[in-house]
Amino acid sequence: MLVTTSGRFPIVSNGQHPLRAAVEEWRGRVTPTPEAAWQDTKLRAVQAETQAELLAAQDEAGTDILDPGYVPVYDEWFQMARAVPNLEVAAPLRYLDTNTYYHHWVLDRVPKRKGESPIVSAYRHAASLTDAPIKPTLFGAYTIWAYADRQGTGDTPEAFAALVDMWAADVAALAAAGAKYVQIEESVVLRPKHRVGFPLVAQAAERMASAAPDTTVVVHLACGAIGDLLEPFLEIPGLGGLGLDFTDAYRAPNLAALMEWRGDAILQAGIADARNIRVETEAELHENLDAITAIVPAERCWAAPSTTLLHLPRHAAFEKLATLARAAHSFNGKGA
Amino acid sequence: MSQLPVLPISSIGSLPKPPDLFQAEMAPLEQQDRAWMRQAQEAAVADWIVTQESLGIDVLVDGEQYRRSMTTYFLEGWGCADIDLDAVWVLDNMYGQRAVIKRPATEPRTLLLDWYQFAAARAQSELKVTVTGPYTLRDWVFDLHYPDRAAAVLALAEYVREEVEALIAAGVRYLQIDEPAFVTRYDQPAELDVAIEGMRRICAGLPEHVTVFTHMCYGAFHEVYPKMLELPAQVFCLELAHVAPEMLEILRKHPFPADRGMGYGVVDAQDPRVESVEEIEARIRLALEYFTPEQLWINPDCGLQVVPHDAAVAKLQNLVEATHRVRQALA
Repeated sequence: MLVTTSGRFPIVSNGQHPLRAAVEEWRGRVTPTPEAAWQDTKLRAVQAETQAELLAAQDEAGTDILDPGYVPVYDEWFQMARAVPNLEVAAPLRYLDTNTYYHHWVLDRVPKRKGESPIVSAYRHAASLTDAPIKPTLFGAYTIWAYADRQGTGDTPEAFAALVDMWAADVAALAAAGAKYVQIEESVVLRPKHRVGFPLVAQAAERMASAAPDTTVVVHLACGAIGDLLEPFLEIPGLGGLGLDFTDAYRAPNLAALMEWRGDAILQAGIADARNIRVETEAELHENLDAITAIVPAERCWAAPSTTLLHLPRHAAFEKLATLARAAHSFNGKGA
Repeated sequence: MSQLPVLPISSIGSLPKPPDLFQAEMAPLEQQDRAWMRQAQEAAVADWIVTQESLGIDVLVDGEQYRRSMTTYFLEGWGCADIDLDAVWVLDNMYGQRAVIKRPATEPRTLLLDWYQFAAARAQSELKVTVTGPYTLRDWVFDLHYPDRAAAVLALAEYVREEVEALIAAGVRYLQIDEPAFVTRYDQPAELDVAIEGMRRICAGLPEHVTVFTHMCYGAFHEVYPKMLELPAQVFCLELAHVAPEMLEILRKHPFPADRGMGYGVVDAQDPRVESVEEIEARIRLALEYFTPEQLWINPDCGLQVVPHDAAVAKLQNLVEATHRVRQALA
């Protein structure tokens, strides 16, 4: 069983990190925009150094499939917006039920892609630093859409299709750069209000999978119970994997839903609670894995944190990741 | 006691801090000059009381000038939590140190008492005291002590109840229990029930002359309405300056009960842009399509702590002016 992560990492220790200082300095001298962040070579150099640091930390923790270690300026939605000329990024909105906030997009027209999003160049840099497989995470087109302030032609099927095309182009670029795995974060579709958005998520996932047929595209769904959406998700053509949350309140309903699992997709099993500072014991993680692999064969499971470890203090995030890796690797031995 | 006008105006809780105080409280605890900070905090509270009164706010707040955050202040002060020094990302380039609950309270649960007395001695107008609710106190921190979330919430509710009892004994008539986390886990009915039970335990048997407010922000209100009405608050202060169409739709289907009040947020608490009087007036008039004048309180969306001082003052100034215009039209 391979061990992977799920999106970006916390960076600061005792309030300090060179990237935090660099962003503070940057926004003191320019108007902070996605394009300004992209053009700032000093800022990007510190982001690149941070990647090296986070890749090494993941490796040390025993992770098999690494995150590129990319830490955006402000947040992913803010930085991704540089791919769309003249796009307005508006005030931060609370993301899911977390106490974190992301800049939402104002879609007032059909968006047109200017260039690749920063995650593609971040992937290339990460791949130049390590031989380990790397799984970049993109917030999905539906998530951006669901949180966007949509107006006029920006609130049409054509606008959503254009967003999907942009994402597909990024996934294709990642595949061309060598990415064997890509994670698409679409947890919002499990919120009651957004479950009706499943057809859009499916449309986007199918399009991305077809853009990179040799790349495993994993749709990640954290902080929610999949319920009756499991079967339709597994029917999405080309879908390489699905990430589910087996922690906290979602463990029981997602285990129950798993009874309907079928096919060859990878299950990215979120068994380390990424929103709780308490580090699980290896025995607890084994218990969770026992329950999951009783349904889905272990060889098709990845062990992962339930969502991004960003919600934790840095020391706890990496302690949790290391424990997860030990547990998953010893589980392999246990099964052999 | 003064009679409040129609559409009474209040603030929500936090107000911008002087930069030197803000810097000082961000320092590691062992490096903080507590005596200097206390002086600075008192000066800032006194200043905001004068400012709010000069602007014409009807029910004042102390601006929470002495709270590093709405969760750590209580949990640290009660002795039941330590602060994890590895701050957690919140938004942009902002990181917050999180409290980690590690033990039952070891200190008296009367943190707010002397701050209330300090503010009351300087205020001519009515004061509203804000306290973070037990559900948010649990949800926004980490917990290594209690066996589960419900146990933590109900234990913390007892501590909040002790704070509230001390405040009411000292004369508090307007009490706000902040529960912004109530609007987050709306997909888990059991979580909402725990939050409701927590507030019920705080409010059970409170004197009738005490008006209990609750405040929520930055969430999908329509997902928790009308369930939110099970919270034992008389006035619900919500962030509605950019009210979602879904919320208006559900208010049409389930009209707000006549015996409850709505603290309608009419200025954005995160955007430093100062809304014009006309913009704010339009928001109040929209509110009047869903609530009677007798039900409505007028307030900002949330605490104004993250906008610059001058913008906060200007927002409150325009909020007061807009409210006066609507009052005149209603008269």
